[in-house]
Amino acid sequence: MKIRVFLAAMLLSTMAFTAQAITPDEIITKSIDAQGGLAKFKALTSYSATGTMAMAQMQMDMSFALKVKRGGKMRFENEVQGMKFVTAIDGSTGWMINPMTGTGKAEKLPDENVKDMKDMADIDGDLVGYKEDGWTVENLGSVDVEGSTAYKLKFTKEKDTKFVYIDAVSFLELKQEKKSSMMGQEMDVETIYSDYQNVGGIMRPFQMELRTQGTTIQTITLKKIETNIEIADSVFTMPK
Amino acid sequence: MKNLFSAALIVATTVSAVSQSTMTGGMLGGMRARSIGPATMGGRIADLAVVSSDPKIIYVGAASGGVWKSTNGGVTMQPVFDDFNQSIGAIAIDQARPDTVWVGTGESWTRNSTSVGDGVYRSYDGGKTWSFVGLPKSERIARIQIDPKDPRRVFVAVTGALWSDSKDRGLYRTTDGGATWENVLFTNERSGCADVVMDTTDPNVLYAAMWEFRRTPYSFASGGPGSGLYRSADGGTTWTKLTNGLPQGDLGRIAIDISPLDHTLIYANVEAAESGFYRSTDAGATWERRSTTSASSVRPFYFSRIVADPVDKNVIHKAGLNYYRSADGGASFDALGGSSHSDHHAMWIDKRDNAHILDATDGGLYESFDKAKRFRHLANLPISQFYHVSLDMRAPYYVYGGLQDNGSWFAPVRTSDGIHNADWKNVGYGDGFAVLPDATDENIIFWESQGGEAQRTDLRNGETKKVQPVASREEGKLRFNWNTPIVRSSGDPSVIFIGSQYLHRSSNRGDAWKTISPDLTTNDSTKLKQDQSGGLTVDNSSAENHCTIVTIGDAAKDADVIWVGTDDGNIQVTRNGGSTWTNVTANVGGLPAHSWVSCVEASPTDPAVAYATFDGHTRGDMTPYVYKTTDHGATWTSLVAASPDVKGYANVIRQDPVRAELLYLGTEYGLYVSFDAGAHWLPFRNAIPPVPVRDLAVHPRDHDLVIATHGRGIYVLDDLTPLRAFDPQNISAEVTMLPSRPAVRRMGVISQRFSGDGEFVGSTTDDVATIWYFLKERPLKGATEIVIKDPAGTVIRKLPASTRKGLNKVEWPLRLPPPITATSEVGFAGGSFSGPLAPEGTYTVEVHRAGTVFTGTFTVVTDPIYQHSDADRASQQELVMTLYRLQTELAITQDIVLRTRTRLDTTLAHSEGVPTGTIASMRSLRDTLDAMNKQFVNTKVGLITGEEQLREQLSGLYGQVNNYMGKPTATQRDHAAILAERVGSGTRSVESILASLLPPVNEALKAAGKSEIAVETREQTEKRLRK
Repeated sequence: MKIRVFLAAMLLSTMAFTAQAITPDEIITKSIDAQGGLAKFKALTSYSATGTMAMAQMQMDMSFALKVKRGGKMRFENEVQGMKFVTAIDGSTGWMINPMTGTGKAEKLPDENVKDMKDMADIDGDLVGYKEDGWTVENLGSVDVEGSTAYKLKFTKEKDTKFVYIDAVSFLELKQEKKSSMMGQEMDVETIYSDYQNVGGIMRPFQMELRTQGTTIQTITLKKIETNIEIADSVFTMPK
Repeated sequence: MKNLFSAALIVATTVSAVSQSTMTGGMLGGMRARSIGPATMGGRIADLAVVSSDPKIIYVGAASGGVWKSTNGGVTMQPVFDDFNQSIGAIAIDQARPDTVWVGTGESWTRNSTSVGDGVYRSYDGGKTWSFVGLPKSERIARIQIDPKDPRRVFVAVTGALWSDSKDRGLYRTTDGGATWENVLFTNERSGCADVVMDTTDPNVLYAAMWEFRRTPYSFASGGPGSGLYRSADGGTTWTKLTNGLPQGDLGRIAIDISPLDHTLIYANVEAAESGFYRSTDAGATWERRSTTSASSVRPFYFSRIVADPVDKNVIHKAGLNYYRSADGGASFDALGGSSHSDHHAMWIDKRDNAHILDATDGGLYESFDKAKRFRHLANLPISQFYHVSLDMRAPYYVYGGLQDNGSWFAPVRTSDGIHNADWKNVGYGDGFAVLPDATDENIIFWESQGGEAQRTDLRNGETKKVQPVASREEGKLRFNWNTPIVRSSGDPSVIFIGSQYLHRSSNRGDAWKTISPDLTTNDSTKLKQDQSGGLTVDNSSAENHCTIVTIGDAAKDADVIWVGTDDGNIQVTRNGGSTWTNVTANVGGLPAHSWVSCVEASPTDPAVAYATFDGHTRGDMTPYVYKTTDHGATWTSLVAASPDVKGYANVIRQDPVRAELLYLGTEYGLYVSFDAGAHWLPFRNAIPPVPVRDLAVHPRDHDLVIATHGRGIYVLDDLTPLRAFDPQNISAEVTMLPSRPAVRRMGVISQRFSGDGEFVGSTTDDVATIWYFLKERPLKGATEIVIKDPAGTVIRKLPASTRKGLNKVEWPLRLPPPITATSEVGFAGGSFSGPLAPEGTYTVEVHRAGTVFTGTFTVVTDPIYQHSDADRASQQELVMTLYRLQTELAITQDIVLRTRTRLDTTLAHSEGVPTGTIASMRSLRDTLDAMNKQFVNTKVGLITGEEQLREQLSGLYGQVNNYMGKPTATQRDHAAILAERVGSGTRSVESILASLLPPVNEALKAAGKSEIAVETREQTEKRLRK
């Protein structure tokens, strides 16, 4: 019964490319299901990920470690030639350690970067619990994303806008577009997801490509993700 | 859940078998067009709008270059309308809710080269997203007015069709935010609404200007009984024609504005037998003529915008050849504008300070702070309108082209740090069209201004000579089109052609011309009355010249085969170098008579084959016509009859010189590509909007497609090689590897610029190897990895893959991985972020996808601009590899030092039971190791310490040698030897210290029941560092 219903729904969606019959909440629910289901997301308390980042301008891969804990806590560390960089948020205060500043001490992050940090620290991602986070959503219809058909969802919260593209066949998230503050400038950043793998029942993209104005600036490749591990809150607190 | 996925995937793969007919333009996504500008001269802007409550937010509507937005007062501009029609007629902001913006497409400054719009669009989020809201057949829109009290109530002045009768014109009103529209003011099918202004103090009161006008391929007429000035007092439902005090007889284009300070004060510029500036002080009931100056009478069809000053009732701003400003209610006008471009179209006056002005001209956007006396140019809008493009054979090659309103220019296709405004050089004045570099002397440039005024300039000294042909005694007056073709022969590059109504040929750079044809046009005298053209205002600028040749093409493989197309619909061919000509127009089936031949392209591969595009838009026919002949014109087939997706009248077609089935088509709605000789066309929209494409050129050596747009400057598709190898009919493999042109090794170039953010900079190519492959499906699951192997087969780099459905591109910066360096907590070894440049040769690239490996190759060559001998280059490669390995040697030694120090520290922290002598030994050893580390790497904290230890010196020297392709200096060699000795002696010191001091310590530790301090071998350390 389930399979028939799913296929039928999918055929309808592939045929009705321009019809707005499917509501944004239906798309979001299907996507959460495709990624593992609401129950699995709600059961997630933390995760730890390691991997490498390839910057487009440089030819080296930098390894990184990311820890996220429910409650808006996140810590991102990467190392270059032995120098350790840390960016973190403890739920409200964003801070960083940048050895290049010469002091080696932790400093608070500017407000425009804290916004991006909060996004990264949201363990539920863009779709789960979006209403509770204060977003409203609109289905802008089917669009072509690099040869695949996707639903373009527009999320709005006060002055903020972001777009999430859901693949019309698999209902996995294809990409996200939002404004990000980089080097003091607000830029439109696209994040393209691929290499989905099952981690503890949730489908996670193991590769993320960041682009601005169509050009790739960074590719993140995850090596390992562990979920629901014990992480002390002090890991996320700004050191004195 | 897994079963559902497999089921879904099965359906997905059967539904999407890739063939040309199901391929979409999006599948070419890995290939993106590169915009190189120029922005230094801007381009024509038709309208602008500024948010009153936050005047740093500016919207600019280019005549055919889209809508641009700034949020910082014009310092930077972003395109916000690139998914839509690029010809902008009007922009209006709902000032009470400034995120609501309305755009009317289709420029209403109806010069001969103007484009077409397709209706009205609206954004509710400040331009992030847009909806189409109606009036698709409006073709051009002059003004939009929004009711400040009810934003659902909007008026749109549809000027309408320029080249034909139309019912879809006049003033339109919506009261439901664009869901439905009513035509509330209409006079006849030859007249449209040219202006509308709403009284914002009483939105039921509106003034509208109706305008009767028509352009044909050979004439323009402004004025007629359908024109007039109208007023409504009931919100646009009924209208009264205003006549009291206005000129009698037929009227032409009228511009209107209401003073924001006094709603009974109305200004109008009226084109009539005698054009003049008029004022009403009683809300339009009666009018008085204030003046009849050139501010009113010069080209009213083109200059028809009045802005009543927001601060001073008597001040009026008028668009014109100059920036006209009156301070006496229109009785007199000062001709201002400073050194801004002449030809002003719209302006915004700051109501906080009426000395502050933004001015929209044919040369882009300007800003004044002194009431239009002096202006600064905002050089950040790449909205130039090219007619043609040519390329030369320099390295890098240069791109040449002429611009509407803005002369002739050229620039390199790439530089080391972007194509800056200063990289574009000007070589000619007026309106520019064809620009040709000489075939052998890069200092000689041919260019022209409107009407075939061909010139030749020597760049060494700027000396210019006119080389336009002059009629012989037998020939009548020569007729040259506004956009006269000047082309180089593809068979013999020392020959150039120019077309009047005859074809002229020169083999001595234009010093002398030979006429090699009879009159190839229809020579229809009814179409030769340009001296009477203009209607109420005579306008004979050569824009309407007709019965002329507009396109020429000769066959590369047979110089005797020459094709010519004319503006009055003749396509003619000679097969004997001009001795006899055949008119083959009648053989083109399905083509309306007198369809302007926009382009004739002789196939570069087969002399019997030619392609032609025909353009009927100047007779109101917007259909694209594209044909091909394979028998010198005896028979023709349409290439677009079965392609309803091709939109816009056709301007240019080129056949790829390597693969004959690969065709490139430019229409008024953008670029299209065909992989199967025209059976199917794909729109190409990757990083290029649907902007009019007027010319295309393929570079024969570098294999780029250079795209000349009319409204967004020049775009480049770098490297057509993968497209040439790609056959959409035969894509069955999951991954298809595609070839690329040789990758070019170059060294980085040092430059220092702090020019701020206010200038547009075109993108350049990077010094990388480009790997192309086609993915049949988008792989959401499973890893995809790229592996690069050097000519010996060794893996030198792994890269994350791009995973689009369709064409993918991955770049490898042509360098080995960066050296493994010793680590420091306080600073970088700046020279060591790059590996050595990869040597020349043939490399292998593998795409690893879900367990299968797909293989391709690419070659790496050195840019011929470097002058070093092979021996010199070999000596650089030898030294750089030595320094490369030395850094790793030091890294291993340091790693051993640091790990051992850490282990000593850990043991010292838990040293209960360890003899005091051993503890003292451990401390001493630990301190020695720490001191050695301080010699190896920087350890001083601080941003600018000036410290430079062994690692930093090694990295610095490596960086120097790594960034020069030739022989290292003797100094560098000596320095390298010294550093090598220090690394060697450091390594030996560490070994001997550990060998002598550790064993007794370990014995004592063992005896005390503690773990020993182990030291890895160098091999183990290296393996771990390399992971």
